[in-house]
This record gives sequence, C-alpha cells and structure tokens, in this order.
Amino acid sequence: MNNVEIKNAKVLIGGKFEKTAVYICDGKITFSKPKGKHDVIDAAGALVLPSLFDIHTHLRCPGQEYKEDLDSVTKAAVHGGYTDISSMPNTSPPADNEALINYIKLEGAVFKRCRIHPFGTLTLGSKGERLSRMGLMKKAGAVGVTDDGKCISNGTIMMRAMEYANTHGLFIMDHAEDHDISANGVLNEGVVSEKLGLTGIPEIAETIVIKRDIEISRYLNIPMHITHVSTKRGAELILAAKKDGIKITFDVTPHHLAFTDEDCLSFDTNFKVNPPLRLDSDRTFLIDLIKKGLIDAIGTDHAPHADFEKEYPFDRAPFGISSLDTAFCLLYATLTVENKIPLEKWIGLISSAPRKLLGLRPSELEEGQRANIFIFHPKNEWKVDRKTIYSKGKNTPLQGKKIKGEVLYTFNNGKMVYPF
Amino acid sequence: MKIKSKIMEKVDIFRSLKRISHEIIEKNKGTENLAILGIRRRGVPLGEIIHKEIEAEEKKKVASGILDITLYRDDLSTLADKPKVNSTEIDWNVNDMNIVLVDDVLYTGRTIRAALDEIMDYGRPRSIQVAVLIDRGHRELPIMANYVGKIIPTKNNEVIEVKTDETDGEWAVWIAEKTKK
Amino acid sequence: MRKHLITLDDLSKEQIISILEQGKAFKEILSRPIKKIPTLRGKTIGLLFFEPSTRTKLSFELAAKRMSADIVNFSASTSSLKKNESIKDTVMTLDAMKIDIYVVRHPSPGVPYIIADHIKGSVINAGDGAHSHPTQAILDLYTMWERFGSIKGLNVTIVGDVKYSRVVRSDISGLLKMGANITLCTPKTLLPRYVIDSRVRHTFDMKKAVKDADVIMGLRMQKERQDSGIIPDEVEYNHFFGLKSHLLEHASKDVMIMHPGPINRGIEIDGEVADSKNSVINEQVTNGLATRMSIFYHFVEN
Ligand SMILES: [Zn+2]
Repeated sequence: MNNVEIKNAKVLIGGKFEKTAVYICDGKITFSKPKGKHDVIDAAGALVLPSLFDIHTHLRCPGQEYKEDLDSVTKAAVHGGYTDISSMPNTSPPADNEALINYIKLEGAVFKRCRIHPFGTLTLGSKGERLSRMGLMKKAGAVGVTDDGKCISNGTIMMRAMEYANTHGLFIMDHAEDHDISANGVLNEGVVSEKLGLTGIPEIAETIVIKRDIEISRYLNIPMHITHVSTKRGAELILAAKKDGIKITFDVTPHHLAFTDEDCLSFDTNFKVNPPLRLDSDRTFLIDLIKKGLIDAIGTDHAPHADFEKEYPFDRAPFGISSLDTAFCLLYATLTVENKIPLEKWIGLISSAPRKLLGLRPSELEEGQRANIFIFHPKNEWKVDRKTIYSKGKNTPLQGKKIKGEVLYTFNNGKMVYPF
Repeated sequence: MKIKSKIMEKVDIFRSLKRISHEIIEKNKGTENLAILGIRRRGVPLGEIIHKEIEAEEKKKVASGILDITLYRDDLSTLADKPKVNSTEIDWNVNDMNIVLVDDVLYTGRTIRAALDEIMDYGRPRSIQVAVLIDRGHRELPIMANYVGKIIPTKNNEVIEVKTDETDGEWAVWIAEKTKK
Repeated sequence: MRKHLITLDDLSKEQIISILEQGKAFKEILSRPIKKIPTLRGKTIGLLFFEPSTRTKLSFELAAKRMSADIVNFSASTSSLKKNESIKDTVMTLDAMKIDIYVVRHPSPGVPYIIADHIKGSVINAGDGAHSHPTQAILDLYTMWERFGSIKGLNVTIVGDVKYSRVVRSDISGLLKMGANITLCTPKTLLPRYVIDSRVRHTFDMKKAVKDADVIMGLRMQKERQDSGIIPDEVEYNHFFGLKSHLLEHASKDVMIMHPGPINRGIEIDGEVADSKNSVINEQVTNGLATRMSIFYHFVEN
C-alpha cells in the first residue's frame, strides 16, 4: 500500500483546524514527511476529519437483503465518511444469539470497508418476554443490547433485562415508545396529522417511556441510553435526570434536526420515520442542545427500504430514512451552514462520543494513530439521486435534491476505502 | 380588432325586429302554439323585443324562454377557457309547439345546430324556425334562417358585433376586421 | 392546463362560486324529459374505487352518464393490491387506456396525489381515508347556497364523528372559505386534539349547539368507535349527541337538517328529524349529481 500525502487541506487536530499537510504512512497518521515515494492528494479547500462512527444502523441483513446488504451498507457508510457502524439487531431472524453476532462480524469484514459493531437483542426475538443470550453475544463481539424497533412494555421484563445486561457490562439502548399510545400512528400528532387525516403519534408515546426508563435506571442504578429522542419534552426529562445524577444518556438523529412534521404535508413517504418528525419547536430545541454541548451522540437510524415499499400510501409505507450516505452532509448543512455551529463543536458526536459510550478504544486524528480519516469538501455541491447514493435504500428526503458539502475520500486503517 | 363601421343604428334594429315579428305572425297564422326562444347571450334581448312585439300586436300571451347552448357546443374541447354555463329556461312543454329560435348573427350555423339538439332533449316540437338579426354567410352546416333582419356579405376575417342595451349598454351593429397578432 | 380536485385547497373562493352557480344549470338538466347532454361525448371517466362505496360511486357514474361520457370501472379491494401490485403499477396500466378524468376513492389519505403523479388526466378525489372529500363539501355548500342565497355569515353546526371524518375536514375548509360560522358538537374523543382552525368553535352541549343554527349537519356514527373505546355505546351517544326533534325547538324555525348519508336512525339522528320538513337529506343526493356534473365540466381537460 502506498503512502499518501494530503496537502493544502485544513486538518482537525485536537479540536482545532490547522492548515498543514498530513501523511498516511504504513496505515498511520504522521505530520512529518515520510521518506520515499508517496501519492499526493491535493485537497485545497477541503477538510481532513476523523472518520465517523454510527451508533444506530439498520443493516437489514440477514433476512432482508432486498432492502440492504453488507456490500451496499458498507459502501454507503464509507461514502458518508463512516468507518464504523453499530448494527441494530432487529433483523430477520433477530440477532438474539452469538451465531448471528458472529455472522455479522465475519460477513461484514469481507468487504474490508468499515467495521461493524453489532448490537444484540435484550429479549429473545425482541419479543419482550424472555431474555436473549446476552453473555454469549458479548463474548462473540456484541457491543450492546437493545430491542430497537420495539420497546419492552412490561416493566418487570425491562428491569430484569437491564440487570442481566449489566451483569455482563453491556451497553443498554432503549427505543422509547409506548406502542399502545402510538398504536396505528404514522406521523407526529398535531395540526399536520389532523389536516391530513392521518393517525398521529403523540409526543407522550415517547416521553412516557423516557420517564419510566429514567425511574428504572435510577432505581436499579444501571446506566441506560435512550436512542433517537425526538421531542423537546423528552430531552428535558433526560437533562433533568442527569442533573439528579441518574446515569442516562441519549442521542438524536440528523433527520430530527433537519426536518419537521410539516414536511409530511406532501404525503412524501420518505419523511415517514419512527419516531416521527416533530414540530419546529422540538427541532430547534434539540439544535440548541447541540450548541450547548448537552447531547451525548448523534445516530443516523439508517433504515433503508425498497422502492416499492415506500411507494405504498403514507399510512401503509414502512417507517425509516436511508441515511448513511448523506447524514454528515445533512448535519453539516443543518448545524454548521444553517445554525452556525462550528463543525469542530459537533463532529465528536458522530466520531469520538459513540466510541466512548460503547467503551471502545478512541480513534483520534493524532500523530501515530491509525489513519481513520475522511476528506470533506464543504463547498462542493452534488445531487442526491439513485446513482449517487450507494445504499440500496433510496428512501431519503434528499432524493433528487442538491446538497452542498461532499465526502471526497475515506480512509480506514490507512487504506482508501472511498472512492471505491 | 379594427373597427370599420357601424352598419345599423338602434332605429334600424328595431325596425328589423318589428318586421320579423310580423313575419312570424304571418307565417304561423297567428300565435297559437307559438314560442319565442332566445339563444344566450344576445339572442335573449332580441327575443324579448320580438316576443313583446308579437304579444302587443296579437294581444295574446305567447310562450317564451331562454336557451343556453354551451353544453351542446361542438367546439368545447378546442377552447382554452371553459365558457360559463347558464341555465336554460323553458317552463312550458315543447311538444307540438312552433318554436322560433332567436339569435343575433347567423354565421357557420353551429350554434343553431346545438340549439336544435338541445330542444330535442325537451321533447318533439311541431316546428322549429330561426330568426336572426344579421345573416353574414359562410355557413358550414346546411342551416338557414326563416327570418332575417339584414343580409351582410362579409369576409372571413371580418367580425359582426351586435350590441344590445342589456349586454353592452347600447343598440348597434358594427362590422370590424380581425387584425393579425 | 391539467387540474385536479383533491382537496378544497385546490379551489379558490371564486372557483367554488363558479361551480355552485353553474351547478344550477346542471340541476335544470336533471328535470328534463331527456336528462342527457352531449358535453363529455368522447371523454372517458375512470371510476377507481379501492374501497366499497355505493352512493358516491352511483352519483359519479350517473353524473358521467348524464354528460355522455364513457365510463371505465375499476374496483379493487385493497387487500389484493396490498400483496404486491403497487398503486403506481395499477394506475399506469389504466393510463394506457387514455382516461380523461379519474375519480378516486381510497382508504389511505394522499393516494389521489400518488395517482395524479402517474397519469395524464385529471384526478377528482371521491374520498381518501379521513383526509378529504371535496365533492361532498361542494354539494353541501351548494345545498346551503341554493337555500340561503349566500353562505357568508350562516351558522352551521356539525354534530358527530368529527375526528375521523373526511367530510368534515372538507366541509370546514369550504365553509370557512365562504365565510360561514362553524360550531362542532361532539365528545372530546371524537374531536381532533389539535384545532383544525381557530375560527371553529365547539361545545359539548347539543342545546347550545343548535341554538341559532341555520344548518345542522349530522354525521354517520361508525359502530367500530365503541369497539376501540372511543364512545361507550349507541344508547349513551344518542342520549347526549343524537339529533332529536325536541332539540329543533331551540334552533331557528327554518333550520336545514343535512346528513351526508347513509343515516343511522336512532343513533346520530332520530327518524322524525330525518323525515321532517327541515330535512334536505334527499335533496342533497340530487344536488350531489348536479354539482358533480358541474365539477366534471370544470375539470375535464381539453
Ligand atoms: Zn428505533
């Protein structure tokens, strides 16, 4: 493998941008020019950044390869600047045993693009009844447990699952949703749902479970992570709990920062996602928390679907946004361009923070570290369409739109994994 | 549109209508089973004058009504804007009536064709006759008028404009020339 | 220019007035010995009913026949569609048959928009889930306009299942556009949690609701509402929210009783009220035919 010089770029080192050449030498980062021949990348106007880590990716495999497979998802990841993704276990069958964890780790490594850090389920088959083999899954390489996609409604089961997971030191993630309240809802309950005659998902479907989870976490004294918090109220509850010393963390998604339920007014099923897009007041509140540094991570909730599924009417189409290809660009447009939050203030939420939450080794852009980096040009404009995104799921609200900011190169362990 | 000249004044129009009224009475040997049906829009005020004249002359009540032929037009699908549909007002039984259709200008004959079709949907009159103020030629269908105020030979690029007090605030007939856009 | 009628937002106030005014001409046609006009000769109207419906479909079908259009019927239960054939594929097949106007009824909100995206003709929404039913609103507006001459300032009270009703959504939109005052009367479980429009008032008291009303509109109470715990049962519903004759004493003498049908006698409306001289429920059916003819005339593309 050739050594590489990246010149004329601004490099994010220790939280600050510096105009310096950076070299990839034997897979590692160095700032001093290595001897001998090397390739040169002229990255004028671009930024060199630590590669990204997604804490919430729906792989769809095994079982739903028509939506996404390991080839397409790893392409989408590195195209988006991600070299690490955490897979959700709600596959078919669900990843509730060590064999499936092994499968994901082994098969995912075949493409040599990015690492996959699998989550296992909390309960067998994500049914919320019996516990899954969390210990053996951890041994096989599971980084955490969650029944994401669903929520354990039985408080006793939830408490036991948490106690057992904690026995094995597993990271516990909860998808906070009261399914009896969200019921047949398909978008946020509010003026928009009433106008469209579609059944709404009230804010309280999320907040009531967050409140329960906080109490369980407090009572058991076991840390818990709430994923994809979508409401202002939900975030407020968590922040208050943190103040009380309860070990609770949370992440938000790029789409909840960028879009609102009003985007559903056109009945575009690419905006149908669970938890649903909320009000602008929720959106701006979450952005404000990022400004204040009060959010623990940003996870994509990458949820690819086949075209024909998203062509169903709004009330029948599946929930989900295909996100990995565009998540960073959307965040950049939303947080930095629109809300003037400097990139260096939030990029940690999708690089170092998730690693830390999951207890993984840090991967910084520092002299001597493995070269897990990507090059991003903030001014390049590109059109999001079926050909320019690599996920099999073309279900992104950005479909057909132009977006400013483009990932030019992604390096994993010093190896260029994007462009392919 | 270039206006060329006024070819009829109010007095000319009323004189013509009076003559037509008398011809109608004469042809129909009185007013029995007679009905005057004005075609929207300008056939309506003309029909009213004829109707009044006949009733005054014969001192008898004569049936009258209004026909809106919009929904029977054969050119609807070629028009950019949909013409407004107004009601047809016939509150008598058309069966066995002698109906005189009144319109301002007889040109291609297509309006009268539409009017004939519409009347047939109301029943089976004994006869249908046509009275027009102006016959300008250029027929596209085998239709003729029974009563004509004035025959005016025209070119195809000319337009006859009948103005009525009700629709235009004055009584007059103008001839104009269509100018190329 | 191609036009669709999917919600009342697709029509300006002026266009609504135009449809109402010209509806009168179409109503006159319905009283002729030969109730048929040649206006839509050579045009094809596709009736796409993805949900069973008798009244609305008959009304559209007859309106099309009265105007001499050819009719293509496509009825499909959604279950067969759900399997694999998408709406897009179904509609693209139909479009190869050169249909000028699609009349669409579907249980899912928004489907008329999907169809409009894949066809060349015009789409007229005959009801999509709880979203919209614009032709019902037009016929309701027509019925009021014909009686009162103007809708502005009319006091219209709507009683019943507001939350799940496409008719109400469209009626409210139309009535507000035309300047009527709207009062809703229904239990909280049948009222949207978020206000449709701040100009709409509501009450839980039928006596207050009917007071000074020029129009009282009843809505069909679906049986399923009891099963999902939205109302206790029909007896209790009728007691508090049924339209009963003694209530009419509180309304103006000439109050007009409307209902989109089919009615549940003894549940949302008592037989005496439905059959009273104040009731225009049957007149609404005739007006539905006339206004749908007027709508076809306005929306057929040249
Ligand atoms: Zn989830």
